[in-house]
Amino acid sequence: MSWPWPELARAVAGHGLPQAGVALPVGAPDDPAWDQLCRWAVAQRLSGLLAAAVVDGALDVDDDRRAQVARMHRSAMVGAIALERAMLRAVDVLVPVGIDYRVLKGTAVAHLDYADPSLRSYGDVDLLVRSEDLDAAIAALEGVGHVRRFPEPRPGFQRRFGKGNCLVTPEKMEIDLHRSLAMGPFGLTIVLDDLWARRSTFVLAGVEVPALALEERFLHACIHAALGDPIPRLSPLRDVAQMLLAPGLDGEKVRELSATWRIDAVVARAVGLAGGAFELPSGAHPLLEWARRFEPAARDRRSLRVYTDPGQTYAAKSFAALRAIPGIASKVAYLRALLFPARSYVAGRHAGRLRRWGRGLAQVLRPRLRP
Amino acid sequence: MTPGAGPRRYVRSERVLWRRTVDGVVVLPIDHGDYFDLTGTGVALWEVLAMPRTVDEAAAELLSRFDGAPEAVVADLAPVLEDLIRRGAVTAGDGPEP
Repeated sequence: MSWPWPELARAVAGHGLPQAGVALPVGAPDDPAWDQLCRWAVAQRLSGLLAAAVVDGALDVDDDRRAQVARMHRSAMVGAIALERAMLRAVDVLVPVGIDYRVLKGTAVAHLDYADPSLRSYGDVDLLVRSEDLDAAIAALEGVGHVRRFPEPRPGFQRRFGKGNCLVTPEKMEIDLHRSLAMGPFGLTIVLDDLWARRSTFVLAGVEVPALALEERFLHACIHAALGDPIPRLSPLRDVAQMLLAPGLDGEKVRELSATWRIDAVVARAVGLAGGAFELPSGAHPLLEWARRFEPAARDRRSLRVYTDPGQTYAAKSFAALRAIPGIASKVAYLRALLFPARSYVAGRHAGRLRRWGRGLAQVLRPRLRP
Repeated sequence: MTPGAGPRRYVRSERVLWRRTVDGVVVLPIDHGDYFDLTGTGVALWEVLAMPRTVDEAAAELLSRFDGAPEAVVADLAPVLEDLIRRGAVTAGDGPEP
C-alpha cells in the first residue's frame, strides 16, 4: 500500500499530540513508503515519535520493521545521552568560573515538555549564557579542548551582535553557546534580560539543570520553527504544538513577551504553521485564533523573508539586522566588522575581501530585485 | 545493632543518564564511560530500583509482574545487582527503610 507522503510525515510527527487532526493510515506501508519514512525520521530527528507509533501499535509493522525502528531509535537515544554527558561536562567547566547558563532546545524540551525524553532526539547541545559571559565561556571551554567552529568577524562581535558561537568538544560533539535566540533582525530585538528573569529546572544525573521558563521556551521553539529553515521542519513544529497544548502555558505572558521582543510575526508564523501541520482546531488554544488573524507589518514581512526565502543567506540576514541595531555608533561598529573583518575570518572562506564583498552584495540585493 | 542500620538497599545511581528504547533501556553511567542495555526483566528491575529496595523487596516487586519461584528470583537478583553496581548504574547502602 502506497501512503501519501506529506500526510504520513505529519501523522508520525503528530503522534500522541492531543487534539491533532492527523492520523496514521491503516495497514502496512509498501517498501518504498517505509524506506522513505525511515530515512525521513532519522534526518528530521523524529525517530522517537516513529518508535512510539510502533510501540503503541499505531503503525502496522512486522518483526523486521520493528527491529529496524528499534535500531534507529536506540542509536538516536545513545546520541542524546552522549550529548547530555558532554553538556554536563561543559557545565562543570562554566559554573566554577561563575558563568550562569540555561539549557535550550532539544535537551530542555525533551525533559520538560514531552511525557518521556525518549520521544525527542537531538543532534547538538544548546546553552544560553549572558552576553557579557560569552567570551569567558568560550575561553573556559577552549581551555579544556573545545574548538571554536567559526571565527568571529572581529573580537567581540558575537558578544555584541551575534547569536553566539559553536564549539566542538574533544569527542566531536557540537555545543552551541548562545547569547540570543536567533541571528539577524529578530535576534536583536529580544530583550535578553527577560531570558534570565525566570527559569524551569530538571535533573540530569543528579544535577539540577536550569532551562528557560515555559513561556520563554515556547517562544524559542516558535523562533526555531519559524526562522530555522526555509521549509519549516516538523520536529520544531511539533515542539511548538506540544507546548501550545500543554496545561499551564500562559498565553497572555506569551503575548506580552512576544510584543516586547517584537517577534509577533515570528510567533504567529510558527503557531499558524504548527496548527496547520497537525490540523489543530482553533479552539485548542487562543493563540491559534490570534495567529490566524494576525497580519504582519510590512517591515516584519521583509524581515521574515530573509529567513524564509529559499537560498536565504548569512549576508542578507546580517544586512537586515542593521535596522534592529540601536544607535549610530553600534551600527557603524557592526558594519565595520562585517565589511572589514579580521583576516582569520576571511581566510579559507573567500578568495579575498573584494570577492567577499561582491558575493555579499549579490546575496543582499537578490531578494530586493525579485519581481 | 547500630542505630539506623538496616538491610542493604539498592537504588539507581544518580550519576547515570538513560533512555527508554523500543526493546528496553539504554544506560550510561557518566563516571564509567560505557553504555549498556537492559531488556526484559532488566527493564522492570530498573523501574523497581527508582526507589531504594532490599533484594527481597525488589524480588517481590518483580514477582508481582512476572511468574517465578521466589527463591529463584532472589538467587538470580543478587549477581545482577552486583553487576549493576560494578557498572556504576546502581548504588547500595545499609540503611533504614526510606
